[in-house]
Amino acid sequence: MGITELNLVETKKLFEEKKVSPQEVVEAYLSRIKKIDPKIESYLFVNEGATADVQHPTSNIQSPLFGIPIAHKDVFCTAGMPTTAASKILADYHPPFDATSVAKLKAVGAVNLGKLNTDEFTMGASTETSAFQKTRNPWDLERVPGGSSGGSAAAVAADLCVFATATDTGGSIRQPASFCGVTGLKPTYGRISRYGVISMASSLDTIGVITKTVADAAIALEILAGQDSRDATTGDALVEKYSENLRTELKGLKIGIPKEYFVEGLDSKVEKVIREGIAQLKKLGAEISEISLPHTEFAVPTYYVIASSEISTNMARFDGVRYGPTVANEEVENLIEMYFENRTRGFGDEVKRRIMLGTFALSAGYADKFYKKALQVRTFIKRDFDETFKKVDFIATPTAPTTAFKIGEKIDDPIQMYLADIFTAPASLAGVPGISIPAGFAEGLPVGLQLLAPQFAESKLLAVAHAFQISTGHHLKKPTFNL
Amino acid sequence: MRGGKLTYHLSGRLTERFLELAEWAGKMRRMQITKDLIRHIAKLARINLTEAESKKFTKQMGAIVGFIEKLNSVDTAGIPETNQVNGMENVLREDEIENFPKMSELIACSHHPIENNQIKVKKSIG
Repeated sequence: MGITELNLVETKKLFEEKKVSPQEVVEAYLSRIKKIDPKIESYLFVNEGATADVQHPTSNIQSPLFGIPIAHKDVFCTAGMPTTAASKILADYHPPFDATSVAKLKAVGAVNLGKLNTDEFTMGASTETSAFQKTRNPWDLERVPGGSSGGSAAAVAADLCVFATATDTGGSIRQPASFCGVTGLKPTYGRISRYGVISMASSLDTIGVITKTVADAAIALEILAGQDSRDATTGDALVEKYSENLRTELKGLKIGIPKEYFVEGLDSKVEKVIREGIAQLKKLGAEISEISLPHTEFAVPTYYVIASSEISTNMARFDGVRYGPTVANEEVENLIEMYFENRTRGFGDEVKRRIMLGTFALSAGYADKFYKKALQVRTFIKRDFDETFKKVDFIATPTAPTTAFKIGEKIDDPIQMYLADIFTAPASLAGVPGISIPAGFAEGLPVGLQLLAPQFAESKLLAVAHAFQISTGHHLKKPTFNL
Repeated sequence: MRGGKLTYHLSGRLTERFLELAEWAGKMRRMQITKDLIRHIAKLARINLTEAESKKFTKQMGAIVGFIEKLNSVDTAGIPETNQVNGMENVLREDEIENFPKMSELIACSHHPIENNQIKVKKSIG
């Protein structure tokens, strides 16, 4: 097996057995990026000097991720490296600091290969709204990798890094993981610090990882999770030894299948794969039952009102004053005109649309009808999950209603694109952890199974996901390219 | 929904349900998204729109708001709002002063002229 085909656990084993050096591994990934990424376009910025970074002053050969090459979604601030959120409004921004997640991974020896493409400011489900390039799905280069963490998912699927950081606000880790046949973990809201990650919707944004295996995700979570004084939404919930609690069978566990996720809108070929996945969970010993999450149909509109409202607030800081390109002072009459110019030139259509939707939902006369209403419906959605988790331990669903669609297919119809989040948005609104794992293929394209658990139950969630993964092996299949 | 039928790639029951509810919401109180409203919102958001963009966004926003109006079919009387989803409240700390070590690097991120560690921009009025 080529070095770059190995997962985190396998790569570490090679280091321990002294079969290969970290420098060789980093070199192998850098040269694969050079060879393959022109076809995939997952990287916005490649750290050509990564091999030298192996000798980082704060880590050593004993560090848990020493020499492991990773990459970051381009909304994670990386000191001295470009951080653009895939937007022209931050085109030349080089943060002078590292996000907490970036610093934590550096401190345990991980080597940063570079920054990965995303939908602009993580707004999208296909990575097509990136201002710079469209990332391709390694399984079919005419198709989207999903979004917004499409760069992260494609890079992991194409073995262009061992794992990647990512963010999930309404499905942005889980859906691209499903489309690209890799593992995508969205922990509980607040599990991992958001300090230094460019915000989209503050009550929904969740930091997570996209990995080659569940076992790898467990290791990454151990390193990233925890309270951070710089992010007040991170609590003091215990960070467990996730990698030591993985299971191989599911006896005694109850898994609920929500009937509202199996309506006619779900592609029949995707449903077939998911049903087989559920049968597999049963075979492993889980007790399967049908449950109901009655407010599911309101999740997407609720999500878009809340997310857009928070977006309109979070995007207000981008005005060309403190960071990003700007018109020259001489070119404008006054400050307000400068704001208009910089924002108009700097933001893409989807960002503008969502800012306007949020501005509208929060404006005088409409805030009660839209924003307050959505917050109330969010209470119902969260209660659906709370009630369900009294009866079952986990929920299993399809991650997405379809497999990867073609580039250009949905970009001109915003509502179409929003409906891609139909199965992922509910968990985001409730703040519960979710993972998407490869469950098989439909006409050659990956299908993801989504597992959900109560808040802060990542240990159990990863344990179940691992059991499924080990017993099926779908995650071992890799895309091939004609170069 | 405005005018003719919008075709969804996601066909079937799911879409039918959305359209049913959007129609219901429309019957209750149709929200008129006009070009003037869009221009007003864009101004609040500090975004200039071209004529073509005004037209395009008016149409798209109209459809999106119609889609969102289905929330009005949910009876939420007396239901509290959820702002914070993992139960954290009033996270406090002592007001201790720390000197941020990278002041000059931070301020160097701006392209505007710098005077006394301040970013110089145009006057807000005039």
